Amino acid sequence: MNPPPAPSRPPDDPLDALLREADEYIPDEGFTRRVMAALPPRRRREWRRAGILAGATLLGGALAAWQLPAPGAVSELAAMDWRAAAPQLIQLLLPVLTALAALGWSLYALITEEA
Amino acid sequence: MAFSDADLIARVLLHDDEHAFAELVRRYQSPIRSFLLKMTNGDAHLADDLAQETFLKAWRRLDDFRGGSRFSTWLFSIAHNQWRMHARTRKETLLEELPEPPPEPETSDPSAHGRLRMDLAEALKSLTPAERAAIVLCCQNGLSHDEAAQALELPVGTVKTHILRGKEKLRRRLGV
Repeated sequence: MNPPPAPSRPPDDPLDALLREADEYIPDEGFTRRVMAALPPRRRREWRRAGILAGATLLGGALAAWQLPAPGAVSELAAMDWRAAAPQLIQLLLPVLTALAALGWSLYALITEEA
Repeated sequence: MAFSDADLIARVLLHDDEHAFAELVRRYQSPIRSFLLKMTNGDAHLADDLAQETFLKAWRRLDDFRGGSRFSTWLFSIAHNQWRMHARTRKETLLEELPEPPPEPETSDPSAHGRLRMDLAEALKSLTPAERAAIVLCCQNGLSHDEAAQALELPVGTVKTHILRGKEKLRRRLGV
């Protein structure tokens, strides 16, 4: 069994005894209730969630880019009448715009969560 | 069964459990309010405002508590910072010697011991804030010198010096 630690001051020091005795318990008297009523939303660290979201967005964007037609097809679309080309252009741009929007949203979430 | 501080903190972190946090506030409201009461020279209203801010900050920043120290030490550290920020805005002196207060009037308390305790409350006001904080944390709240140094963001040697000087002043003033 270890010996008890040596006291750092004499046990009968009247000043220490007075200091300990003078520190009385303060009754709660509604303090806890007031604190709980004022609690804001707790700041949470969402690095992991935002990171996963951003990673998934980047992966989705890469897949969308991989699905894009060859550059020659874009110039063909540009040469076409806009009414005829509109459906193909929307089909082409929609995944890219969606991926960019998702990336922007995840970055916004990351910044606001850490603020 | 009483939950440990670590259990309650885990419940707050995992589930945002407000009941667990309320238990932590109930557990530590007295020492934190008492500490701030002494730091504000007995201004109960201000001490309670600062104590409330202390617990609100603890709630918001509980993720930052790594468990490397006691929860109470972490709370005292926040409380001391709250007081320091308040003192800074009021341009109060922090570490300089305060002028010796005038002698307090005789009280009508017939008990010599009761009078001594009232004198102690007044004598604590004559210490510098740093001496008062170190004495209140170590001699009244049972923090070790290392813990007080952590809470006050001071070197351990400085905390020991503040305690020695502060106690010497109290002894001289109280005659004990």
